[in-house]
Amino acid sequence: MATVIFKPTEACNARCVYCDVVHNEYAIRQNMSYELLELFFQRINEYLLERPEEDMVVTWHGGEPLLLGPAYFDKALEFQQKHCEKTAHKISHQIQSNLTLFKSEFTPVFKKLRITNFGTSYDPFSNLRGIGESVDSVLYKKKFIEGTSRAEKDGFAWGMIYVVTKLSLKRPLEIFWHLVNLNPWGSVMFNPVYIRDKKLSHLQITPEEFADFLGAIFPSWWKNRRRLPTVQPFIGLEESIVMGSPSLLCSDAGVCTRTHFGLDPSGRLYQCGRSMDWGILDYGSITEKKFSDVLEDPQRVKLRDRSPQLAETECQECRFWDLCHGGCPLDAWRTTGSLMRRSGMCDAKKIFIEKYFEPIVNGMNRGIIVRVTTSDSLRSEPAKPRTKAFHAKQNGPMWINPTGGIAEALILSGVLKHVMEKFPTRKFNVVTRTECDPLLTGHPAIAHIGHPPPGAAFMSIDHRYEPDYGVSGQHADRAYQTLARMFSLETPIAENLWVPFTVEADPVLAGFLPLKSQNVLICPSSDFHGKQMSTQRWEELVGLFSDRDTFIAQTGKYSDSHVRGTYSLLGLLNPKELISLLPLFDAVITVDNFTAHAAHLCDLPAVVLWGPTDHRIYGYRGQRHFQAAPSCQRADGCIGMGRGSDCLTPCTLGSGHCLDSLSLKDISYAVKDILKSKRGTVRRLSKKNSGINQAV
Amino acid sequence: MPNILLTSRCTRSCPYCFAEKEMIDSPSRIMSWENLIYISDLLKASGDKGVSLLGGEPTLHPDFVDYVLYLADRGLSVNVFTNGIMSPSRLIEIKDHLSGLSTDRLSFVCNLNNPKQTPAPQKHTERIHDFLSVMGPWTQPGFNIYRQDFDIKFIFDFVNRYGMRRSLRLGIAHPVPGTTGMHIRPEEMGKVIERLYSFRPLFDRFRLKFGPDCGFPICKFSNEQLGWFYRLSGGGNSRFGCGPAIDITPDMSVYACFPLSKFYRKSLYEFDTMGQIVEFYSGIHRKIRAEIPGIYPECDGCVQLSENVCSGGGACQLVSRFTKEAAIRLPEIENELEKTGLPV
Amino acid sequence: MNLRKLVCPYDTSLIRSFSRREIAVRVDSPLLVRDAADVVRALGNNLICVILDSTKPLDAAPLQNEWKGVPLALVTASVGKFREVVKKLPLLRELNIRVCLPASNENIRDVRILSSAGVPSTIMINGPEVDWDALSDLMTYSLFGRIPHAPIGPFDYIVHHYDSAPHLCWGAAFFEDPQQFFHIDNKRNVALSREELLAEKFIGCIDEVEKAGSREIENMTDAWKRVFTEKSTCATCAGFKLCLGIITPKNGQAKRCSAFFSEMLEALEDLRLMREKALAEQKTWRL
Repeated sequence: MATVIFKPTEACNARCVYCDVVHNEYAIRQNMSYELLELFFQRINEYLLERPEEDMVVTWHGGEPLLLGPAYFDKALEFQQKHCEKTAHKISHQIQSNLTLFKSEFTPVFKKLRITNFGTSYDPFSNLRGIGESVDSVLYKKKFIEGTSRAEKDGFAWGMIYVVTKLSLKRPLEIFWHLVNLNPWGSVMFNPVYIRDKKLSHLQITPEEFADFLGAIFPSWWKNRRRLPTVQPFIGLEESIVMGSPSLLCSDAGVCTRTHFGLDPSGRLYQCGRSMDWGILDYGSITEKKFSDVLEDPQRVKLRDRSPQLAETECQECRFWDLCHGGCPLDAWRTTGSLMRRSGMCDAKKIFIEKYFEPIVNGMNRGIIVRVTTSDSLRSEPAKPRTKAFHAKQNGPMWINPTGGIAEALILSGVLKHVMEKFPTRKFNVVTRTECDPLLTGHPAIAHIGHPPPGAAFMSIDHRYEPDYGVSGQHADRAYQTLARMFSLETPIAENLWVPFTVEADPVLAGFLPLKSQNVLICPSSDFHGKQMSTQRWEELVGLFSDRDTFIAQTGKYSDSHVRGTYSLLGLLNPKELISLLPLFDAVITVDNFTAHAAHLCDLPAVVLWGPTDHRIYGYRGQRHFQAAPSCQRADGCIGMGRGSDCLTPCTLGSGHCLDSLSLKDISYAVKDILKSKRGTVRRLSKKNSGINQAV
Repeated sequence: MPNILLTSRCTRSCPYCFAEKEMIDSPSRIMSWENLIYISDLLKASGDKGVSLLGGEPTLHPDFVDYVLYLADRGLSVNVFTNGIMSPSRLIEIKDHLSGLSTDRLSFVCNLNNPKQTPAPQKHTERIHDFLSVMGPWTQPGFNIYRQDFDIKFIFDFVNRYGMRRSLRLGIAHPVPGTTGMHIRPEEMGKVIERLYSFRPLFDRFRLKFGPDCGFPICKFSNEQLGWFYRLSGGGNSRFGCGPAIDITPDMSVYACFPLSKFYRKSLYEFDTMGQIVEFYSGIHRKIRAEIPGIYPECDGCVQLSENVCSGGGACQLVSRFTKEAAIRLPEIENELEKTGLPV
Repeated sequence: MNLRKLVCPYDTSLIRSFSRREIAVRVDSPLLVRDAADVVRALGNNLICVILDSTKPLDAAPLQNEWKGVPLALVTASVGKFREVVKKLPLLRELNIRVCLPASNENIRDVRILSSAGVPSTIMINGPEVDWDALSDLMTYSLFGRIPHAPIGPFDYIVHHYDSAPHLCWGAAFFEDPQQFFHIDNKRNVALSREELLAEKFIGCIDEVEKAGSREIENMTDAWKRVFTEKSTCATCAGFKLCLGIITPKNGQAKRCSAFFSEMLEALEDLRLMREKALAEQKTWRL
């Protein structure tokens, strides 16, 4: 689309301080003659006929175009109708005016020219824009407001340019809100001032200052952009960067050599309006040149090389090239003397985008942060880093801080038995913890179980923090071995479990159980959902080896689901009672829980089902392990350090969860095999494992 | 049922008061209308049906009567914890505007002290009598045990004389972690229950049920005592539980019960529903009890504890214990103790 | 000129002279409420509401069963004691009533109570002497209250009419929008607000005004622009769109009212976004 910056007059009723036209002694104050005006429309028609794919925008400019009066525009319309009969539909008119002279008399001809909005310029605070020689800015503002009101009443919209000068820098937000409040229907564009007159150099702003000015406004605009009028350059950047739909002004598009023309009142053709004001890039008179001649003018042709040259030189590394294309060549000429260099205002764009635009917009793209959610506030405080074992000087035995659950307490008990055997005088205190105390009370290596006084030194026995935890190797990664090493025992060491108590099975319960020739205890129970196999599968499993000679009991928590086909002991056995009852059974089928360890303690054959935990770390030799490979997205499993919150939530894979993939047939074979090998044998507990006396 | 603290002022100074520290730290706040509306909306959104009003002394709030009427109009049943000591004008207001509410919409728990063991000014005693003369039928007696030789005979007289509801709210004076106020120690619980049982003829004769407030351990009841208690209270859902009782202060802080008012004290605005608050503090209680299940060693492995029939004493007792030992408990607990300035 | 809605006194001959107009009729006696409503309707006009100027607070207002079915704006200075209001709540909830109160601290608080109790109300903001922080809290409650409650004007009006359109005059919530309402006396004189009516500051007879227009109306249409030529902080206010400089804050108050209107604009945008999102996520098809 071609654009002609058309200045039929350079006279103006205002005397804006920084205006190049007003202060140009060579400016042409007379109106363009009707002859030239007519020729202009002939040239337009000619151009559009030569280029059927093109449209043309005529931007009426000046000076102040409304000084021409309505009659002049009537004439323009007449000439357009006369000479552009076949191309008039491709011609659109715009007008840039200070609106101080707008009257309703202009409205009919503007409507016929299909002018629907005005471009204008305004400054609410500084006294740089004013009417007449006295630069009366108060009158200017009053006339401007009146003019915009009249224009609105006659159905015109208007957008304004605000020229940013040094005087603007102290109050960017006030300026912003003033402008958008005044013109809620239209648009606002912020442009930096371009000063050539050295006497006005105090008004010139640097690229950094312009960027910071925009940056002071941008957050407010971004937050409210849905309800505000379009504000450039913000909306253009949003469309170009965020939405991927480039929307560039002429100074950034890099194509002005193909699209823009300027025409002064004397009929001389220029590159654009600014070049006209500065008297450079003069392409000759419209009386001798067509628009298409201008496109082929040597100056123009040379200027066309600017973009490709810049792309390979100054602007080669710049990631903003597509938004800028080196900026306006005239601005480059102003600052460097060369049209072929990049514009100084490129830096303004770069600074603004990097310092202000991207941090805000990229943050929004990550999602709007509203308030810390309630679920977040329900999470426990982040744990302080656990201290490794340390030995401080203190009076009395070292305190052991047992971690984990009762299974770990059982392992600790076994390891301490080894310690006792190797270091008979070595004693420990143990911090009291729920469920652990009954298993450890009376242990010969334990002097006291209780509450450590302030300042007590203690050792943590969380083997997961040891350096060799998880390291592959025959013994390196087994929990028992790791714990043993923490107590300075040489490994590998026999993984014996031991309890310091003698418990006889409750005679009432033991006498009540309908034991048979084969007795199996199952324990599907676990606090961790990931370690559980579904109740339905347990029922299927039980069905595979159940027969009339086999008694199957289920132990676990009171709240566990009952596996049908089994005798429920749910909630009836504490850990000690379970240990005491185990010798009554021939086999145990369990998941990774206390029962698996208790079975080892009682030397009872066990089939152990593993999913997210690893039998190589926690399972015992001699037991039959069925390890499911975790099939979930978490390569490192759902149980472990830093995943405490996962433990209590059901596996998201539902029935596809790893433990449910184990072959029930294979498990039942293993059980049957155990039972077969047990037939005809009398099993007693090895005394070395416990103080348990159990007659079978 | 959450507790809304209308004011931190109180007209009495009970020797066992475990709300004292909380009241001292917030001397002059009263619940505003805006906050009351917010709380009411929260309760309605959460599906709650009732609310308790506490203090200090809630009837001291200048808009007490309006607040009760408002809450009742919002469809909430209101239970007011009072010491019964109020000005004659306030009593007239209550009589004129609140006695029209049915006893299932409005109830009082009047916390009574033994006049001999906990002497009070004559004026206070008269005011209590005046209150009960007017609102007796809406009111159940409350009593806090803070000494082993407590005497509750007077309560039976009050109940008969003022037509009070025949249900005694029986509380145990709890320790406030980090302080040394009067409270009943775990080792004293057995004696306390024996003493309570000694009043059995009166309980039976006057059909006064009692509901144990939090902190009573079931194991300290003998089977005979428990059986009697069960019969007396009509069996059913008696729980020897421990909260969490949710308290909401005038400045919109929330915590689980007075003794633990500094422990995990949160802002009400951090939660969207009452259910979330209850779940949060239930989680805190679980964490505490993952360390120590109850006030006695026998709590570990106790069937009644595992079945939620008994909580193993008050959580405040356990937290109080933690403040006197090395920082060995769960990091969340230790962090909170340190943050709240309780001795760590 | 678009036909305005009329706020006129209860004068049968005056009302009879209008046809098919939207009328809010003003009465000062509770006994006239029903009659006034019936008269407006019977004479072929559209009843917006009856405006009852009550000299008593709400707790003493003589509400009547026969008001049922009459849209009523009860203008009163205060609510009074809740313990008395609570007795009237059942009837208040049955009436088509909106309680209009001036924007005092007490009323800002009481409007919230009424709203939570299911009684619609309106806070009439007529000037800068308002506790803007309290009003902001009320606005937040009105727009984002946790559970459904009765509407609070002018917030419900603003929400209903807000669509990011350039300007919005919320005075319409209490009949104070010259673009929508003419206040008429029984001599058919037109004033642009209640205050001007009481001060007899008329712009002309309604017949002439509606026929030929008036300079006052023209001036009034662009009145909001005056702040841009005066040294007014309103011109640079982020909340200008909702206020249009009507509040005209005095010294030291500009920041407060500005904060309120800015916050309200943000809240309105948030609300609009939430609705758009909810619509977009709606999975159930609908015709």
